[in-house]
Amino acid sequence: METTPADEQLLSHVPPHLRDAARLGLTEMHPPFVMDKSKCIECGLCREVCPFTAVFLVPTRWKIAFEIELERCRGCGGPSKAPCVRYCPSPGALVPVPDSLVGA
Amino acid sequence: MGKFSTFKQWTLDDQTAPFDAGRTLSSKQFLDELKEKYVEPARRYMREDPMVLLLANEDVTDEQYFKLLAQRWNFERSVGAIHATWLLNYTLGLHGELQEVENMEVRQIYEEYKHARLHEDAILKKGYLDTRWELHSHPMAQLLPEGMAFHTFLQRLGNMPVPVRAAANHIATEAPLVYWFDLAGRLTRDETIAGVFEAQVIEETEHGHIGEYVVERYCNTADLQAMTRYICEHVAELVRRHRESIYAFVTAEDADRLVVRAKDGTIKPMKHGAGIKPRRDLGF
Repeated sequence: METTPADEQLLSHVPPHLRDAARLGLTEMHPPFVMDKSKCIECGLCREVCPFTAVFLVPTRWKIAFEIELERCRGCGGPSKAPCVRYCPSPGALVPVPDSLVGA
Repeated sequence: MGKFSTFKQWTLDDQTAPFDAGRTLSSKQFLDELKEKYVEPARRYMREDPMVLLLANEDVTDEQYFKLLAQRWNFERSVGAIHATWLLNYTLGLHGELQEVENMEVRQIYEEYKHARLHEDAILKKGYLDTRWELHSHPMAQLLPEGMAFHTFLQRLGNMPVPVRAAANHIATEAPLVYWFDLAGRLTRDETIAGVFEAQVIEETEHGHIGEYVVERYCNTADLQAMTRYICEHVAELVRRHRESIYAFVTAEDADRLVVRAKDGTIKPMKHGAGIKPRRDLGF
């Protein structure tokens, strides 16, 4: 699947070394990821490598937590290709949203 | 003491020359003195801090929010780097002294970077910028000269004794800031930005406690106490100037002080990333 001019504009906002991963997210449909908080060690690597800036630090009064915005996450070609999963030091902390939840 | 005596290096005689050594206090008394001088007054003067009053105001603009977040973002990043350089200068005692301080400092590096990233994320959530990448080259996010001075001074503290720099950074700088974050978190009108300030209260309080611990345990000689008094005064002054410069920058009407002007005085448009050529050939 080719990228459209609108996609190319989006890609121009992505750091160069993450553009290949971002193209996967545009061309290969895959459900977004969610965070398993019991396995996440809060290192923040996923936030640093996400091409679509989908991982945010969410402030609360007692804790600063990481969260994934499902609207921004594009799956980046699945767990074997997505940079967040590939860099994550805690296996199983990032899992795709179950098909039943996204209506697939 | 002889001119070339090697004993000189242990007594800090040369360095204490400008300080008033006075008499040795117990470290507990000395900690109380520092807290009375730097932390207690903050309760009062932070309530009158112009930036807090500005944030409580209904008329605060998006540009002012953005400038404050961007400046704080850059400074918080630099604090993480400073603590990383301080880690290079730990000499552990025979019985493991200072090991626990080193461990706490490692934790602090992570927290300072996390605070910087909180500011980044608030900027994105508010829609001030499209990407985090942009922030690194944005003219309003560059460190102000006063911030640079403060940063450089803290960096130079890296070769000072650990209790001195802990007092300077944790007690004279961070402990008073807790009141600022608390007030700013309560009074800021915008919920997203208020959350950024509120979320830092607990961790900054912990950092203040690190300073209390280090001073109480290790700052127990006249030399160290004299040096600590001297350095803390400097640092408190630099913090005050930095805070004032951020307020001046945020409230400046003509965009900002870092804007590029042509010879006829007109403001030159500045593109994001001007002067920075990203490498296009990096593969993933």
